[in-house]
Amino acid sequence: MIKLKNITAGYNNVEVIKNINIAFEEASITTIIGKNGCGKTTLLKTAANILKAFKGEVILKDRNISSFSNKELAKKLSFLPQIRKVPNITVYNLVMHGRYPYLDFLRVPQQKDKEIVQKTIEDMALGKYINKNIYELSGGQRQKVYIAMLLAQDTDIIFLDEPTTYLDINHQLEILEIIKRLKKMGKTIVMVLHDLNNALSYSDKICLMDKGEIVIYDSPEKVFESREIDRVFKVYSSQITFEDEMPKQYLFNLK
Amino acid sequence: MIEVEKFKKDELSMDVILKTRKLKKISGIILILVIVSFFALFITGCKSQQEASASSRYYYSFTDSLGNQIHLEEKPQRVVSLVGSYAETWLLAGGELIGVTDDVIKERKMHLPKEVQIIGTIKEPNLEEIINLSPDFILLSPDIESHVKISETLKKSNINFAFFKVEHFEDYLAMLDICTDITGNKELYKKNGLEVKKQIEEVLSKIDKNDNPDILFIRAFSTGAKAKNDDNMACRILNDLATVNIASKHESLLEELSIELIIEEDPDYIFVVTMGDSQKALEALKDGIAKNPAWNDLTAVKNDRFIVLPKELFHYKPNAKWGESYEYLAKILYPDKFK
Amino acid sequence: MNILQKFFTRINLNKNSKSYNAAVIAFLLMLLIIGVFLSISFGSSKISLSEIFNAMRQGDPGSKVYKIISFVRIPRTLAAVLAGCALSVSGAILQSVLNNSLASPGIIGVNSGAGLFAVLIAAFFPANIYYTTFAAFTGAFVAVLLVYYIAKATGASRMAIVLSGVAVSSFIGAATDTVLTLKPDVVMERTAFLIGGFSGVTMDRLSFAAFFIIIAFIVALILSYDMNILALGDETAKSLGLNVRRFRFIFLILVAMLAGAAISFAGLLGFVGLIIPHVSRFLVGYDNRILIPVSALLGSIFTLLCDLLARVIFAPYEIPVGIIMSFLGGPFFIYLLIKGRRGQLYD
Repeated sequence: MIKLKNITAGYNNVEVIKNINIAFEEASITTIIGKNGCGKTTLLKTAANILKAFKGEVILKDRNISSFSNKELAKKLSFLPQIRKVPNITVYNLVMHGRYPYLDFLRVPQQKDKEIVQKTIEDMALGKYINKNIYELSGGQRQKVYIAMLLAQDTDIIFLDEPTTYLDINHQLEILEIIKRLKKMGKTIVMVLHDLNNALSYSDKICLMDKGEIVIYDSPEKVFESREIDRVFKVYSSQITFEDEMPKQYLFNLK
Repeated sequence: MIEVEKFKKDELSMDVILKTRKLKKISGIILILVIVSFFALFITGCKSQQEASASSRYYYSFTDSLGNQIHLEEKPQRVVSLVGSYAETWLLAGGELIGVTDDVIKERKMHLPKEVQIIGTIKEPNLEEIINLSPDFILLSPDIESHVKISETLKKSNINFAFFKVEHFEDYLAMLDICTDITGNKELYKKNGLEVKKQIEEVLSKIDKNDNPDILFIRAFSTGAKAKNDDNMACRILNDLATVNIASKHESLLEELSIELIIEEDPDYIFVVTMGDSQKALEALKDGIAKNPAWNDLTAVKNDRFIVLPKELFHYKPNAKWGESYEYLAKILYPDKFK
Repeated sequence: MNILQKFFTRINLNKNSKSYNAAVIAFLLMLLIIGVFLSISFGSSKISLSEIFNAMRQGDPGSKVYKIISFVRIPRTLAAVLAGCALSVSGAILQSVLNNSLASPGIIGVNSGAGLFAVLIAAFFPANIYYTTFAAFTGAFVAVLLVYYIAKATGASRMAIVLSGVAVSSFIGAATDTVLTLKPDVVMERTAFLIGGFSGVTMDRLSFAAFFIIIAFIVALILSYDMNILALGDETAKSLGLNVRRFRFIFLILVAMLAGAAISFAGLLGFVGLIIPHVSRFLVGYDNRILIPVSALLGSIFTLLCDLLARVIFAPYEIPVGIIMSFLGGPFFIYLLIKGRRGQLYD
């Protein structure tokens, strides 16, 4: 359980988000949506302890997040930034980096670490790329490797900043399905997505932000019904329900 | 699937071959080996402790220009000079040389027997060549960093050396005194030292101390020109000859020549000495301050008293010819007193 | 098949495999030993191997061969190895930490700081010229601290450090030039310092520098994995639990120690810190656990070779080492670039 209490945060002494109070439940997928510049990424980074807040506290398991050491925290939460350089590294080594918080002083991977890395790579169906260099892979596969790294890091809470942006549609959906699997493993996922349809159809909770504040934080259904998306984005949203068990889809048109 | 299996098998055999999974251990061992070998080399270097000289009677002792006490146990037979001018002084003292720096040939144009070896340049003498000559005495300058550095090694390898600093005539005289003491050739001290001193004193005695022409002394090089003052050898001669150096009134000239200041002072004589390539230096001067139209209105320039002085007498240390330097300038400054 | 045969067949595995790396290191180590041997055996004066062997065995301090070997060749060899190792490792660390493969220790102020303090000693305390080594090292260190703390005011990001380094270096350079204008006699010494070389090194100057170089090198090896993490990007590294600010600071200090110590006895040898890490990356890739030792070895070998040539080609004249380095290294590096390996950090 991770909570933000009265958080005000930003960059270079400029406040971007103000007086944020929000709690992310265990084993759930929360997606933060909003217009560009509304503070989505700021909120995500502050919760993940990547950014230090000006005011307020982040509470993790009833402790202030700053009371954890770097390594301890790294075993509890992980963060995947949006823009990533493509390092010159093999799939295996990048996923092994996910085990960094667990390595001892000599930084030598133990048998357990190797097994976890191996298993994670196979779970993500990346087995045949295991020794390949990352930038020989396509964007979608690369993303999967990063997620494998996060999986190897074995944290309860995972923060993802736009994990599907710039990916081909099939890879986007693949990643989102993987995220659903992560939730089934009991992990708490908090992510920022640009695509509103993906956000609404894959999440348990939606956090809609505007101008640095939370407008509404509820289930996708309730958020849709509240019409707040329409107000903030100036669009007309509609919902498509299917007869069988397929998840609802959402369409958006200009007003 | 299959490739992953293969990788696993390879890894296991790697483990066997490398004997340990830890790459760090290997680098650790290598590192220790490297450190140990460094230490071994270091200790070998340290082994050369010089034996303290048991005898209290030296052939000759003196203090060099860095204040070091120099004790020569015997008369030096194999002398190397790292400065061209000191090589000349040593020869003038009746000594012999086995090694010199190349400025002896390039600048001083001295002719030395073939057996004398060139051991590098004055700025970068080659230590290995020097030691290879098995010298017993080295002449150094305290103003050149490489000489100071080399002296540390010379000390360790038990080779006698001395620093000399020669800027003005009295420095040369003092050095000649020491050198002739070492060679035992005091007549040469008289001939190449005291008689030159007499020559200079004769020149100075004929000068009227109240007749003081103004002068400007310029050192020109290919990238610029600067005025010089008291610390310069030629300026000292000019001072002794009762001239007034306008740079002593305007110290900024020592940094940059200013045509306004020169016009204001309008010196009676302008002397120039070149550094490096003389041609290029003089051209630079022509293209520099001499380009200014006011230059040609200067008294000195108009009356043909803009004079380029010979390097051998006014840039390189003239040594035994120091008297000639005085006479050369005296003839120019006071032509009626000196024919 | 016995173990050795198995070993050699494995070497053809992909470049990231452990056996390839081990083979590269073993090969370079061998080259280094050969280089050291050559550097001691050859010089501007001709001395045969048997003479060397006898002189060292007898240890007679009066023998000129003994003197040449102990006081000229061995210190120079050691100096070349130390300088080559220190400068190339500091370049490798810096390029990794700043994620900029054009970085060399000079951009964080090491060169200008060392230069200023060396000039100050030569200009105002000429009697203490012996202390130039220590002054240069101190200057390098002080400059880096200055650069870092100025950068810290704006968050100590990589860009901030580079910009701060440029600003501080030009400021210090101006200060140095001012001193030189006031004391023009020092100009000649500065030129020698700028080109760099090993003539006249003595064991005591070296042991001072060696102390820092060896310690910094060991620390760099130990922390090489953390360097890999840092190279993933500040946010990813933080997510993995690395204290980004602290480690960046530590790595800068290591660079200052290594480069400062090398500059203190070798002057400015610019080429090594910039180019050797590139060549090393061509060979073994970006993993710092291998890159650091390979850079060290490659740097030492290259510097040894250049110093040997500098001493021997135009004997008795010595060409400054820096010139030989650029002559040899430049074309070779161009050749590598043209041959085209993808040695890029980014797409």
